[in-house]
Amino acid sequence: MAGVNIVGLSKQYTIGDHSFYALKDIDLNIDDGSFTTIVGKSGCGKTTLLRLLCGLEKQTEGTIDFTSGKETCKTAKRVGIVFQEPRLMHWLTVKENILFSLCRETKSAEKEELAEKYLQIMGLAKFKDAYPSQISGGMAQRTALGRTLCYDPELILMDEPFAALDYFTRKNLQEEMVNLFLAYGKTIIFVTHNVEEALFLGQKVVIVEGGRIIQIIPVDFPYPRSYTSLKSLGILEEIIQTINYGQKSSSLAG
Amino acid sequence: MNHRLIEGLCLPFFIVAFWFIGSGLELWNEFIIPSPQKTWQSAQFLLSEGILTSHVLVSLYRVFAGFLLAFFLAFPLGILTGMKPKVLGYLEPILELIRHIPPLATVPMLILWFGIGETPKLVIIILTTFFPIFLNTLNGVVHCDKKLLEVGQSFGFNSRDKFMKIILPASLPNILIGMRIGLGYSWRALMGAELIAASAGIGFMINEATHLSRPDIIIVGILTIGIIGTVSDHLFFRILHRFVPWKDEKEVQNGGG
Ligand SMILES: Nc1ncnc2c1ncn2[C@@H]1O[C@H](COP(=O)(O)OP(=O)(O)O)[C@@H](O)[C@H]1O
Ligand SMILES: [Mg+2]
Repeated sequence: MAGVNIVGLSKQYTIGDHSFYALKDIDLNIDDGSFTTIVGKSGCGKTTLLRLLCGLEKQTEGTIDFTSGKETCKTAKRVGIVFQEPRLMHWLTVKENILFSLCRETKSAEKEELAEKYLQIMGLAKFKDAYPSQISGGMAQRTALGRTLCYDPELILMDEPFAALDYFTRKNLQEEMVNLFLAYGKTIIFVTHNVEEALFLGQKVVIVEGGRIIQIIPVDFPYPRSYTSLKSLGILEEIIQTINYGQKSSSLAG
Repeated sequence: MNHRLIEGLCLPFFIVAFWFIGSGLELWNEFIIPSPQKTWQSAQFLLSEGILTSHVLVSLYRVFAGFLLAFFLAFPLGILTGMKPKVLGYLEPILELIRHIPPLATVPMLILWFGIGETPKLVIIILTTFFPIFLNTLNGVVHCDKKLLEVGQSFGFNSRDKFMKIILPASLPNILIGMRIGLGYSWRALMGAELIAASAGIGFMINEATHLSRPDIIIVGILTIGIIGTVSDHLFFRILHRFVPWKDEKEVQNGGG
């Protein structure tokens, strides 16, 4: 497992002859075994942050350190990411997709065991031989999540994985995320533009706006949570206000 | 019998019926269009004497050998140029030029260089088959979804894994479609080459029949070409479907056009 220590992280993009910062001076500490949600409007830099964390993009400035116990290193051994789209290999079945990250040398008995385990966890056993074109969006995203879990990552990054799903499927998967977190205690960074989702899932909600962190809110509410009880906390409105009108002097600032 | 089969057999039935009646009423000269009975007899004779079969085998062997050679040239080159855009820069202009030359136009040159033996036929088939396989492979590799490659990258795949587990399977449908088109082209080109210069093969049989004024043999030859082309394409489609079971049947079929 791994925590992350992000200091002064910035990412500049250039489109044509115009450069801009998609992320600017991000300082963030993610504890080992914690569930962090990052929330913000579309285009605020959430995806960019995750891409930097999993090495798909190189930062312009700043450092990312992965911590594991007392150790600190520049690259985590295993960072798994679930993208906004399932990104399944359409020529592989659900089962084969789940085993996708395994190297060639993995023994077939071990493969079978892993497949069984993650098909079971993700509730996909019945669909194991289906191709991605034959399953629903929710099933596809479950498969993608199963694939990432099977990689056995120390840190799991999730980029609005449920954004394209209908309300009921999304709710279902959110509950399962909490269960997975409670059962396996992996470090999770979950990006969303949905404030309710961020509150429902995160132990810490990080609000990003215009490429900067404008507020970090700890949510000390025990799992499993319910939407109604979260509403009564009154944080929801607060977060929406903050995203809309910028940071106010809030008692909730963490 | 299903509807489609009946619908499909209507036109051939009328054509054959027209052929029968026209020949019976002597609407045309026997030396221009032989009667169906005569053609059928010739076909039986050619088959029983093993003449047709031996010509067919010669032609099939040429297509097979040429196709394999073309594949082993075009496939690696398509992969290489797809993975290394720099190489493509060097090759593109010359390939573009060659692509627009109908292979049959090179036959006189090939005869001059290689005589009328097997070599010019193989070269013709390679020239025709190369481009569909090469271009489709290249296309498949170049258009491999970057998002899928990122999945591999996030799992720490090396280039070999990325190629074997993502790029190759993702471009497999393109590669197979290229091979299917190439197979069709090579068959046609071979017939052309055999008509011009050969001492065996279906094309040769047809050409020889012209000199002997045997239109019945010509018709048998032409129909044989059509039947073998259809059968081989169908077989290839079956293989293709086995290799890409995730593809919708329609999609594969349309791609083959
Ligand atoms: N590869 C890229 N090249 C140029 N600009 C980019 C690239 N990726 C993202 N951006 C820009 O960076 C900003 C943040 O994007 P992103 O991180 O995807 O936002 P979010 O995920 O929060 O919606 C956007 O303005 C976007 O247009
Ligand atoms: Mg995004």
